[in-house]
Amino acid sequence: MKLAVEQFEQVWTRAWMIAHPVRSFGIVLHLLLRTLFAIFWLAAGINKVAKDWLTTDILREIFLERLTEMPPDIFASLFLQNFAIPLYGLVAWVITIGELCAAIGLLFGFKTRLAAGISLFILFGLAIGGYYDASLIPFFIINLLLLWWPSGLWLGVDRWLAKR
Amino acid sequence: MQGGKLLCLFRIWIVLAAMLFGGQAGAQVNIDAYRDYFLVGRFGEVCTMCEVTVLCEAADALPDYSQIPAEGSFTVYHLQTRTFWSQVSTIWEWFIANFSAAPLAARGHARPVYVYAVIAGEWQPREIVEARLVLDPGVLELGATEINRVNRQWLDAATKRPIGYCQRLPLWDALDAIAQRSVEGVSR
Repeated sequence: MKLAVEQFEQVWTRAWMIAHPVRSFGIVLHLLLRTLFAIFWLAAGINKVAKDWLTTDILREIFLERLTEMPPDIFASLFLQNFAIPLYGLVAWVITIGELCAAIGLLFGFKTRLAAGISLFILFGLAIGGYYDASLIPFFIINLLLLWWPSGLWLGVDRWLAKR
Repeated sequence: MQGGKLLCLFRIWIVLAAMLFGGQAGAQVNIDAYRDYFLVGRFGEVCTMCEVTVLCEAADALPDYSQIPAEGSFTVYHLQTRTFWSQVSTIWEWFIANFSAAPLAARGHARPVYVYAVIAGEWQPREIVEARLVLDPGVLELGATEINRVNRQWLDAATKRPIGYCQRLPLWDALDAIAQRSVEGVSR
């Protein structure tokens, strides 16, 4: 494992970067997207805490309003009526804490793939809960990239953990 | 390792920026200022995937129909969901809103609208226009006409002369009525 970690460290040497310019560019771009994605989740999580999602029934109100905007016979509508609205408190905690965990994990490269998995879970939740639109597509793509490549080993706490 | 150190510094900067940015996260579009505006809900502007139906008629008072009337002369506007790229652009709008909501409120957003003119109970062919929903100033631009979002007055877009007033219709009943009564043919 240590040998593999050393190989990941090498991506930041000048010699490796010169030898692999396209891959170097890809790694930097990947890390930039990871950071932006993390900032997005961080802001979203803080926003929910600030708007009292964890202590009030505001999420229930949001779901009820959304329910009036959707055709009553689609899956998202049934999902809201039978799951999300009755369990709005649990849903609020899972979303908010999930967003903050995903943000911290992605920002610091700590359990990066797990953080990406949490992020994907939240995105799926948004989509099946009726909050789908085309803006989710870039997020899904970035999320799959984060799951596919070991970016925490390129840069992050994951590399330090792997060394131990 | 120079590159790695540089990148580490960059990431520290990003984390600091994120913390600052996070502090601003509560400063989303100030919906309180626009909460009473026409079509603005408790949670803000008409959402990306939401449709809205609006009835406007030449009258001196606000209309108050529970559904689309069978008789009379009026215009029904069916605001569609935002287009694909307009939906994608909401990511950028969300980022901007964390710093300042003012440019977004002034720029608004566009979406297609189906317009059904009804003259003495006769439904005219559907017209498709691009609407712009603006919060500052509060106006719904609907091609040749517009709606003042503060007092729901229906105006001629060119002259700003009042034509009448508008109301929001219950969506699903209105869509059923449109499906039953509208005529074939589209004029653009």
